[in-house]
Amino acid sequence: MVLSISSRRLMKELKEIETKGTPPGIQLLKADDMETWIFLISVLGDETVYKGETFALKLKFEPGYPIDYPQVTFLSDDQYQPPLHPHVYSNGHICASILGSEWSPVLTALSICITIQSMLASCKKKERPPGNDRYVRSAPLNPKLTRWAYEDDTV
Amino acid sequence: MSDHDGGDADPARVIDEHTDMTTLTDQEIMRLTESMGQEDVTSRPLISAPVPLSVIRDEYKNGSSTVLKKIDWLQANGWDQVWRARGDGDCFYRSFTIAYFLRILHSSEPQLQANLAFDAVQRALPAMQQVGFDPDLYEEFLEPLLVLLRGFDADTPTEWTLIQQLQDAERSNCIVVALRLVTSAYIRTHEDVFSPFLLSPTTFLPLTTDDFCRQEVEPCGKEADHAQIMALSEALHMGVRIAYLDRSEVQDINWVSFGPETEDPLTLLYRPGHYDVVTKDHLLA
Repeated sequence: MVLSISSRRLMKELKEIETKGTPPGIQLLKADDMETWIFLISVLGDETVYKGETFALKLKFEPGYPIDYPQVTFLSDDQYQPPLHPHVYSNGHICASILGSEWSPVLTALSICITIQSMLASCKKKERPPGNDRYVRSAPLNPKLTRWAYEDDTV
Repeated sequence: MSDHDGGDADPARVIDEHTDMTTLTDQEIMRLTESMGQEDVTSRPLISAPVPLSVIRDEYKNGSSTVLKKIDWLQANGWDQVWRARGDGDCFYRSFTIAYFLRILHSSEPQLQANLAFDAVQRALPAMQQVGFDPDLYEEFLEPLLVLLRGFDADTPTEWTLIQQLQDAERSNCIVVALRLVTSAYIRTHEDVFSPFLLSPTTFLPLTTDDFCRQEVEPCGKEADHAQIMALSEALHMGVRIAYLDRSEVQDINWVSFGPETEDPLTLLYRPGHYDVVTKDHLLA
C-alpha cells in the first residue's frame, strides 16, 4: 500500500521526536495513531504569568495535512484547562495566524507547539479575548471553520 | 486578533453591483460562488484539458470591448488553446506546472529538456537549505515533480497522461508547495533585488522579505503577483510570458516577460485575479 503524504509526514515527525526529543516545556503526551496527538505545554522560567501551569494541546490531523493545517485546540476537561490568554477562547480554540492564512506546509506539529508556547511566553496579562462568551456560544466544534480576523501579527 | 465573526484573515472588501467584476480575485470569486450556491470552485478539475480560446471569449461576450479585442488578437495570432487551472489561489503555480511540462513534451527532444528541467530544479535546492527549509520536509513535496521529470526517460507521456497525472490532487498540491518553496527561497536569497517590490496585496504597505514569504508565498491559496512570478522563473531559469487580458487601452495585447530569455518561454493568460495557460495548437501538433 502506498502511504499518503499525510501518513508519511506524520511518521517522519514522530520518529524525529522519538530520536531528538522535544524542546524544554513541550512534551508529547499521546500519539497512538496518525490522527490525534496531544502535547503538554508549559512556559519555563519565572518571568511568565503561567508559572507552574501545564496545558494540553490537541492536534487533529486530516488527510490534507501537511498541505493544510491541523485542527489545533487546547483541551478543556477535568484535568486540563485552556490558558487564560487574549488569543485563546475558553472552549480551547486559538486565534493564531499560522493556524490559518499563514500556515506553511514546512511547519510541523512541533513548530506549532513552539509557536503556541512563545505566544504564551509573551503574554503579560491573563485575560480572555473580547467577545469570548459570544464566540463560544456559537462556535463550530472544528476551529478551522471559524474565519479569524488577525488584528496583530505577534503570533 | 480577537474578532472572529464575519471577518476573514484578509480584510474583505464589499462586493456589490458597483464592483468591477474583472477585478475580482480568486478568493473573492470563490466566496461569491459559495455564497450563491453556484458550482463550487472545488468541484472543478485542478487543471483542465485544453479548451478553445472561444470558450474564454464567450465569458466576455457582454463584457469589456477592450478585453474582447485582446482575445480576438490572440485568436488571430494563433493562440487558440487554453488550459485552465482551478481558481483557488494556486492557479499561477498550477499553470506554470502544466506549461512547464507541455514545453518539454512538445520540444524536439523531450528527454533532453526533461533532464535540463531536472537539473534546474536541483540547482534551486541549495537556496532552500540556505534559507533554512528542512530537506527532510521539502523533499516530500519535490519528489512528485522530480518523478514526473524522470518519467520522460522511460516513456514520453502524452498530453492525456500528463493531464491525468497533474489532476491528481496530492501530486498537484505537492508540486504547488514545491514551487512555492523554490519561489520563497529565491526571494529570500535575493533580498536586495526584491525588497523594494514586496508589498502586501491588501494594504499595499511594504512587507519585510520574511513577512512577504511567510504570508504571500509559502501558504497555499495565496495568489502570485509579479515578485513571485519573477522569482520562480529566475529560480528555475525558465522564461515566462504573460498575456494580460486587462482593460488597458493598448494596441494588440500586453505580453509581459519574466525571467531569463528562453527559447519557447511558458505562455500564460492572465485575467484579473486568475492565470491559465495559452498555447498555439498548431505548434503543439
